[in-house]
Amino acid sequence: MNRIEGDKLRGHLETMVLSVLAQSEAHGLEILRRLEVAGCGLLRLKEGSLYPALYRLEERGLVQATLEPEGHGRRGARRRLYRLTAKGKRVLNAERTEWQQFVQIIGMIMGAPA
Amino acid sequence: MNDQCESELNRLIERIVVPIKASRGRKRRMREELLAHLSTVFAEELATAADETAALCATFARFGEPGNVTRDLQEAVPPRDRLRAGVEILSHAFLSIVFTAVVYKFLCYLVLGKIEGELRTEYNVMLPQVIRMLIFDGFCAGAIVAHVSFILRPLLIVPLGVVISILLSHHLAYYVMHGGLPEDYLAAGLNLSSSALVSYLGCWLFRRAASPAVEAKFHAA
Repeated sequence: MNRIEGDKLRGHLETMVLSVLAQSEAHGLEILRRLEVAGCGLLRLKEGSLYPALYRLEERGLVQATLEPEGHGRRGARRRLYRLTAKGKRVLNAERTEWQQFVQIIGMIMGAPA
Repeated sequence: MNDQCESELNRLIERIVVPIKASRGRKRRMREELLAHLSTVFAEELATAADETAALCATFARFGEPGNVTRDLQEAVPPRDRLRAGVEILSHAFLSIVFTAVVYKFLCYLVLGKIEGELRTEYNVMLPQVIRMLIFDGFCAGAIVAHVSFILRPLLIVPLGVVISILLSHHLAYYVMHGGLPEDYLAAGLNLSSSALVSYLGCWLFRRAASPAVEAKFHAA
């Protein structure tokens, strides 16, 4: 199978992040790992593109971030742990339903039903 | 991680974060989070790479093109935070103006007073005098115009604008306060030209202090 990367992921990244955060809270790198595992290694995501998506989700109140108590590295930089809010859960459910409809309709048009 | 690698990671973070128009608090959070991320990725890569240089290259490749990350991060900054960043810059400019004006004006009158053989006591440190000085004095008006023009206009126009604005505002203020132009043109000329020079230097220093390179050095320290 071909790898999925770049523009194909645009517009879906935020929903995918919400989806992996539905499992449990996680920091940025852990979110990327979960995406990689869920995508069976076929998702090629530049790691730097995750944080703008996380900040947008935080701004919309869909995730909430808390600083880790302990820092990493010599300078003690702390990671932020993201968790889904109640609003985030509602939006995720709505997005899942919308996605199923989208795939069904596009699949029928393309002659490859889901 | 050695100093050089850490410095390279910080350099990458500064390339990404410095151009973003956002409040200092937001940028500080971005820096910390990106540093934590990159440090962990670097440690992962180092475990499998031949050396630290290779690990650094792999870390950078995983993270993506800094320009794209900057653009995406900028788009994620909400308008109210951009407004806050503007207010921070303006308050910085205002403090800079007040500081330059007050400190310089006192020095100026002390020096002029000594030249004339007496200390000018009418400009002592009393609140009403300071307020009057800030509101009516031509240097302050000139400094404000100079600072604002320095921020808003291209570099080459600024020196001319600074000198003209200070000359005009100073003469106007003098005329309003004394009902005529200065009698002692030598002292007035000295005052005006040194005001212009110091104001320009103040503007230049402010500009340097606000420049991305200085911001980067400040945070890397």
